[in-house]
Amino acid sequence: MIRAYWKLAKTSFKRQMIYRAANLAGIATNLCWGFFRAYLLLAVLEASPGVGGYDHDSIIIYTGFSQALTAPLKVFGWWDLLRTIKSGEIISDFCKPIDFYGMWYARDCGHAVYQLAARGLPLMLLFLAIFRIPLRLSASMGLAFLISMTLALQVSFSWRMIYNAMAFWTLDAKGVAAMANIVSLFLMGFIIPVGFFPPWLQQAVQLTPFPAMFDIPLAILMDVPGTEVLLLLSRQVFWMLILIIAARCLLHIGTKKVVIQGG
Amino acid sequence: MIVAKDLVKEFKIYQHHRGAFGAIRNMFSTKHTIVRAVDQISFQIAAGELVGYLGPNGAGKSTTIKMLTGILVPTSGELTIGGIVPWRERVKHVRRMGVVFGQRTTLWWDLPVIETMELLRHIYKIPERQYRRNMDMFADLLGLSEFLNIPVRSLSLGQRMRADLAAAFLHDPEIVFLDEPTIGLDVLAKERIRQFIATINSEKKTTVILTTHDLGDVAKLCRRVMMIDRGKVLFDGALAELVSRFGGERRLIVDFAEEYDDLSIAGARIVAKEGRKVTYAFHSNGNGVAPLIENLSRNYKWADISLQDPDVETTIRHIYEQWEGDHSSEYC
Repeated sequence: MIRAYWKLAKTSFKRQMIYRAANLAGIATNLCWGFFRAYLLLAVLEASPGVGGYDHDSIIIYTGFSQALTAPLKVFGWWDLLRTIKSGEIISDFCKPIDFYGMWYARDCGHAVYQLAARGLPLMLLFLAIFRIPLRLSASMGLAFLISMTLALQVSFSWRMIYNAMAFWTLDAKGVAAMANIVSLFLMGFIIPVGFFPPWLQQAVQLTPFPAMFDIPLAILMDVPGTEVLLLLSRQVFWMLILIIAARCLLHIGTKKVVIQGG
Repeated sequence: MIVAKDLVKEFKIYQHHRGAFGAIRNMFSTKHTIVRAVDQISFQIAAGELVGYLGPNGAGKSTTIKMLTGILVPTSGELTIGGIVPWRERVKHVRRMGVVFGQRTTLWWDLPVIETMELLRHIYKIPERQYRRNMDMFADLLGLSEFLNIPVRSLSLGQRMRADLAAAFLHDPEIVFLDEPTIGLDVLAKERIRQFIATINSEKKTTVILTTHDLGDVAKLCRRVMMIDRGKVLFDGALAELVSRFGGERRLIVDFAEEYDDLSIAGARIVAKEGRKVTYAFHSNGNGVAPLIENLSRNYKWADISLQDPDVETTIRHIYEQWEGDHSSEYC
């Protein structure tokens, strides 16, 4: 069975390879937008030095990291499942002897790995090179970062499945889903750093799964003390389990009551 | 293979609100009407049968198919397929089942056909030898090798449909549901697909349930036909019986050897006359054409006789029209 998921991820990866020109255009866009955001945040930093614990270098790392994750985290929303529910295409997926959540996750992994390797990594390196920022990461911290990144993408995936699953209950789920996506982008610290939030919101956000999708790997990248890393990772694992259970429950209930559209 | 008993499926149709708050209201709305899409249908299908499942749009065909595939849970009634209740053991059920929905595709849109086939090989855990054997067979019967390496988005509709059929039969399913597999295809492509279905059904003894609006498919493939309308099975039996029961009149065309003034014969009426060639219409009512010909031979000299049976298409149009009439009278 593992081989089927592996094959699914590989096929999804191959599918991304077709759009190489789009990939290059994507890097260019993310880069330009990244400059714009970087200078904006640097201006904020100049106006109030030390805001949110950030300095010049960490602002650049923050901006580069968020731009690099635009594609893997599907920041502009992901509606694939929602679309198949609405169009009725979901019927072909139901007719396959494979776990529904697992199938989508394998596809998401293939997509994310490609987007990280072909878009995220080059973008991050370019960004650091242009601004001449040294990135000091020990081997153990590098490993912790990779684990944290994998967990972040997993949590993000379950969250996206949850807002897509709304389509089982209402035909105009796109609006709800788009709203859920925007809220999560803000709360995970993708639009402005969590450190810029007012204190009460910073505390409140720590009680949600959203930092586990972006803010935690970012913190590890910026070199938090080694003792904190385990705590951060276990928080991610906690939210991963909660969201997997939630997403699976929703899919289970949703598929029980689904009315396949059309035909 | 399939045993269905008193299957019922009801849908709740919710009232739809529009506007900015409509979406939110829709989520909590409880106003609905109940529609019975499938109304107590019962039937049995044996392994290896090839059954045509017919009915006008909205008759309940797709709803039945969705229950058979295990996607929909019936409101009431019993259904087992090879001893399994489809929606209770979905994964076990779909492993030995194949489906083609003519209006949808299971293939990966932007990748070559072979990628989907390889993927299915892993999903169904098809042994290498079986996979090779089937791919060779499909290359032969469907001409699959011509477009195996072309991305699905660049295929013609006929090629895409052939690829979808191959994908459905790749794992040697025991039972296959084909929902309008020839929709939108040209005559040659249709012919090829019918040939394929007939061959697989006879060689692999695959049970096939075919829904279609193409009566050519039915005439060519199905010995048994089930007709459904408004959720009820109205006919279940041999195609020949359907035609003889509902087909209306048969025609007898007689070329007389001499001129006669009065050509009327008992049990038939004249519908056309052209020189010495006369067309009679008659209901066979179980007696067949023998009494008419005896009658003719006794009274006249004729040169040639030919018999025209109502074709499937006319028959089914006839039935649909009758039903249409019945419905409209209900509302009066």
